[in-house]
Amino acid sequence: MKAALLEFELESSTQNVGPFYAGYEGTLRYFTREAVCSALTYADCIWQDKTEPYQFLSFPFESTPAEPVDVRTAEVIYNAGDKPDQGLLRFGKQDLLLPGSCFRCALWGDLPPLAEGQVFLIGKKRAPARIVRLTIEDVQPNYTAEGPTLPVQLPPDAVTRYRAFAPLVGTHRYLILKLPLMPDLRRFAIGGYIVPWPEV
Amino acid sequence: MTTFIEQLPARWEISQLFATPGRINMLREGVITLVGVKRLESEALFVSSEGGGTLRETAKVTFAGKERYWWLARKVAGVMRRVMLAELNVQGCTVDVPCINCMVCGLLGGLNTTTNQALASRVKLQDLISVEEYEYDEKFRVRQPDDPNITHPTPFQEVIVPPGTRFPFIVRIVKPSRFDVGAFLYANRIADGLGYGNYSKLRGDASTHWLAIFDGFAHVSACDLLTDGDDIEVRTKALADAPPGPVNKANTLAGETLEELVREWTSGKEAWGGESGSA
Repeated sequence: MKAALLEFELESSTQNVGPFYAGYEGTLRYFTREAVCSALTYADCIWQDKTEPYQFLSFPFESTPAEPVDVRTAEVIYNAGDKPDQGLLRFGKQDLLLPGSCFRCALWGDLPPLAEGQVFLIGKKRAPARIVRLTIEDVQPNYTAEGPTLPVQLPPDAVTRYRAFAPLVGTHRYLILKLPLMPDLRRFAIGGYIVPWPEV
Repeated sequence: MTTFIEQLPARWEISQLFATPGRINMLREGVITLVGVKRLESEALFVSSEGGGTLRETAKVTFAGKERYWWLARKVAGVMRRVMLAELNVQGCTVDVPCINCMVCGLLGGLNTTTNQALASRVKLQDLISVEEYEYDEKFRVRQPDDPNITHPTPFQEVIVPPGTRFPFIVRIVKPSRFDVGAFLYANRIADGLGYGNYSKLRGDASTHWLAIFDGFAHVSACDLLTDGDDIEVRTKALADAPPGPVNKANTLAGETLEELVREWTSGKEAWGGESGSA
């Protein structure tokens, strides 16, 4: 099976919006697997009916969420439009992931074309990012590899199947967590990292 | 010579955009990448934090090995939208309540919270990060009171971006039409004259020198342009000869051909179909 480990660096500020209340829009420090897969397949959403429920996305390859390697954030003030009482966030504060922030993720399956220096768009408002490190290998899933692990993303109702986990991010749609390398956890190694591949 | 931009579809109607599947593949629908350099012609102040006391400091970010001036993309997008709404004489659409039914919303997107309809911007701007290194230079300023009976002016301090500061300006337009490219270039020229950032009545005006337009999603990186010296014009021109990424190389516009097209398309609206002024 082909797999890739890649690190990418943001070229513009962006967000993966998390907490959003009382004029404050925060960002999570991880990108979801859907954000990573959409970005690397150059998928974009031209229009959206906001009343429609979230559509689960499938891709020809799998991905971990992108974890922060060297991520900086900044709180910026936000003031949009002329009338303060219309629209969503007209005045308030936002946390932004700053340009230069670096993330790491792993992909496997029917990989899209990937190259160092490749630019793609990711996150809110689609910030450009550039692949700064790339390893592509044939990997063999196993139950014994050891080493530093990448996080996994699971639906909230799936986590109770695991005897232990460390939650990193929680939303109503997904959890991003670290799974300990138990003997029954399928995994593979790439670029010095272990990618847990739970049999959900 | 007819360029690839002149052969693009004339314009997307809103109904055509809503007729596309919501999710698209950018590479299949087409992307053009515009690369230029924005240069501040006067001082500017891009405030992004509250600051302390009477000090207002322009935003900065550490990028490509240096601390640099940081000009958030939305500070360009906001001016651009106002210019387009005015220049194209769009009725019934404002920055507060985008109608999601006019040519400006069709290009720059918007969310109408009454109808819950959302169009994404097909113009992908990115933050502008300066070629020149950030320099903390606190200016002492004074504001005269509005009330003539009050004699004491209010002092305050500013850390501004000095005139002459250059920023790589990389823009991608998804599913482009002739109108999209023309309206963008035209509005950008007018926005440059109006100015960006704080108190743009007096400052923040800029000029844009377009260096290349690529037919495709060029893998042009601001970090690459800013690393290894400040001669970004030369490096961008080199990119035009060998553009990285999924690009139709034969269609790349640079040099005199590009300058002529920009001159023609920014001096009037006829060339790109914005002459009618109706929404």
